[in-house]
Amino acid sequence: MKPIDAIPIRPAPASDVAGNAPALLHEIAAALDTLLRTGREYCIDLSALPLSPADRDLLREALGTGEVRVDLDTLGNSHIEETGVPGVWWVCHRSEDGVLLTESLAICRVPEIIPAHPADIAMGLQGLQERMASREPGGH
Amino acid sequence: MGELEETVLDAFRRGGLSRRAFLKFCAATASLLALPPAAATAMAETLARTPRPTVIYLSYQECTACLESMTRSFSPTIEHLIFNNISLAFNDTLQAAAGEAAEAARKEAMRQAWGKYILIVDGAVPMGAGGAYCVAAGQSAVDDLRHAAQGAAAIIAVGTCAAFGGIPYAAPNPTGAVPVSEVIRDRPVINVSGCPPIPEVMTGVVVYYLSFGMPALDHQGRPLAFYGNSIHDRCYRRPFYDEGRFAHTFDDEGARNGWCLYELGCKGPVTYNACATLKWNQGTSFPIQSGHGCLGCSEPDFWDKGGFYRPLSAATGHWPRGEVLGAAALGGVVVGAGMAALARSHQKTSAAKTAKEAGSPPPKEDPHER
Repeated sequence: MKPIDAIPIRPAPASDVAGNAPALLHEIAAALDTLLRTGREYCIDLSALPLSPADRDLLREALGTGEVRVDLDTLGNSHIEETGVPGVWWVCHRSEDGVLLTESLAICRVPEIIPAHPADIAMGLQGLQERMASREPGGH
Repeated sequence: MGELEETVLDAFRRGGLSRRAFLKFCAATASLLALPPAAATAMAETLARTPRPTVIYLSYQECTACLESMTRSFSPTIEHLIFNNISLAFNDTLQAAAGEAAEAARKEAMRQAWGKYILIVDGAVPMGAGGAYCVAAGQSAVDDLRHAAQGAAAIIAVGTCAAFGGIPYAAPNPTGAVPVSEVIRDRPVINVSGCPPIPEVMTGVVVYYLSFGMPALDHQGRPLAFYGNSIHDRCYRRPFYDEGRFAHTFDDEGARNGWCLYELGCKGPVTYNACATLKWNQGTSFPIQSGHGCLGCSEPDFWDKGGFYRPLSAATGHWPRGEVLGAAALGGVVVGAGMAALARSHQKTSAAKTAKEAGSPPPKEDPHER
């Protein structure tokens, strides 16, 4: 079977007009202001919005690249990076097949998925103590 | 009972998955459902303590495309997890057991989870000849459905046949087929329409129900999270409609340039579904993106509406002109105000309605009436 790229007919590009990105930038600015004043977090689900390639380019350009990049390896890859605007995180969750599940902009200090959860810490501690105990018979 | 009491989070842990994986699953599902971020956290908290539910999946007058759709989705991630995290106690196509053994297993599962199971119904229910057109194990579909519905915590009608009657219900309807909501009239039925529905919509509705209870429904009984916008409002070809650039045949300049398919009979303006955003086949495409107009398959009576290739604006006698023009005009205003604003307000509305209307679905209209 031919790969899909080998089929000579393809639909025209959706649009080269960045019609939605400017509105999104205003929304991001408002959310950042709220975060600063009240600590309330916000999230914009990019996968639910009809964004043209030009919209995406404009968003990327306006937000820039920041200092933090995080890759989670759980149920497939998740890539989280802080944009050049501190507090604005570009979050991409992918499936084990590499399919994009959701793409969002999280406006927060740190996305909730990054810090270790108390339940996982407790389980980790238990495992560590068991390993310590097995290395040092009689000791805890 | 031990298996019944296992929570969804327990099932994740049993599979060696971390809390982060669970949060990712909830984030992806919340995104699918167009819920705000707070809802993803709430979903995680609820699912962590929700017992893994029993699901009974019954098939009547249907072609099995709904199930085919459901099983071919984003594999092996979200849907795979959902199937691992619910207890699918009966599905006559997927299960290995057959005949009396299958019926016995089903009765036992229903008895154990009586009052708590999720009942998924696929297909229309024939009422003609005393229900004789669809009989399994000596019981007619209509009697079977009435009995199963009594023990269900929720009833989800998947596919346009179960939701609105679909193809069996189309004229001349020789078997007297009716939708599930005409048999079960005393309680809410969640309609997940489409021919077939989008796989992620079917599974997403189940997760939503587990997390938040009854979803907010539209006047056709469909969850607003997925059926709140028309295809036209979310279509990437919408700018061409607004500019008046249309394809007139399937091989003209407009078709090659990917212009609006309205004049080729696209039913996008009067069809409510999530195809334009969720898309199909792992987000690859949807009919309009592949060059064909929307058939309107998630709407009642889509089969009998005068022709898939007849433009909506033509007087078909089936699509009220006022409805079409009204929808298009409203859409134009919304697009002018910015699609981002539309999406945000929709999310907020959905969330507000979700909180407000949990457990109190709006009255449904008879699918026969327009």
